[in-house]
Amino acid sequence: MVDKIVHIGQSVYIKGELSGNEDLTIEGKVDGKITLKDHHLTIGANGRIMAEIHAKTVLVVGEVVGNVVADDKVEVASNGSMKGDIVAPRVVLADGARFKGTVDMERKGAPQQPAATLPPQPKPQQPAMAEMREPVKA
Amino acid sequence: MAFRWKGPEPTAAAGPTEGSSKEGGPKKGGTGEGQPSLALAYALERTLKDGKAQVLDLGVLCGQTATYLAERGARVVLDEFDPPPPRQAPAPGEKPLPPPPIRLEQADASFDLVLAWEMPDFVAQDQLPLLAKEVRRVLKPGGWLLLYAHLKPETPTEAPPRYRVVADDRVAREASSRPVRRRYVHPTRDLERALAGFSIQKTHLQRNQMREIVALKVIPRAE
Repeated sequence: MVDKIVHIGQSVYIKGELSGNEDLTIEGKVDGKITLKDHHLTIGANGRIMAEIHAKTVLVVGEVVGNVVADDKVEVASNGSMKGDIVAPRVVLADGARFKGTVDMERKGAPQQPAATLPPQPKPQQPAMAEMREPVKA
Repeated sequence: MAFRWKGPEPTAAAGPTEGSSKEGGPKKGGTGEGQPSLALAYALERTLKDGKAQVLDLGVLCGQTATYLAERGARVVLDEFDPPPPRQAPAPGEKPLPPPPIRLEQADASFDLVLAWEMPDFVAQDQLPLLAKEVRRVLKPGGWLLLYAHLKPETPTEAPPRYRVVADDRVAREASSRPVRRRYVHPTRDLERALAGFSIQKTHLQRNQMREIVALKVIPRAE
């Protein structure tokens, strides 16, 4: 059996909230919010997304402006562009990809180190420049 | 059914782009790839132990560096710093223009560590204090700055390189496709003067004439 993949074509423009229970490939333009919690979302090379995205995996080959939360993986391909924050346990930013934002790979249920047990910060020391010398200028 | 990407597969050349693993422990030494960086090890040791460290990477985008640090529990902000272009010399009899402002799009006191890599080498001497001031602004009190600065002879132009962290104490310097910029050689005293408000904690001179500097943001008693 082959999983269905829904395709949103290049000429389609959606404004609003998009949610579903199937894998989705977007080549068009979407403004709003995309939720595919257990499924895979691909932003194709022609896709232009301005939305908050939540999916299992997200592949960005086109352009995304907005925050992306993935339960498994986010990948920005080499010709992809993304401006926004990524929260996912696995992240791939390909060579040549354009990205501006934050990468957060915090795992669900991962124990946080309690602040009370943090070791104290080291005291500032005097500048330690003894390990190097200025080049002698002629 | 296993998911298959419908888009292009990452190329073999995309070394720094390998997917992150779920193993987030510190790595030392590794495979010997890259060059040792005691300053990086020093800075990471002091920032990543504090749980959710906020790290600002000002260098050329490197996915592997971002994911490496994020795996270690840091929240990594990627904000490629575009070095300002060189200014025109003033016409005879005219006063030189003040250096253009340098502004980072980040909030005050929001980072535990700023990785500036070699970016200061692409900033003119009179703009260095402006860059350092901006870095100081975005650092939390007690935050750390890591920067590299060459002592190699000045080159007319060069593309800012990309730094790929391969282990806590190793980093690989790679060519990037960023626009070429003039690369300066700043004497150490100029770097020290520019870093007003910082306490330089470590300076290492590598065999390849690279200075590695780790500085701590200090708060004057009056603040």
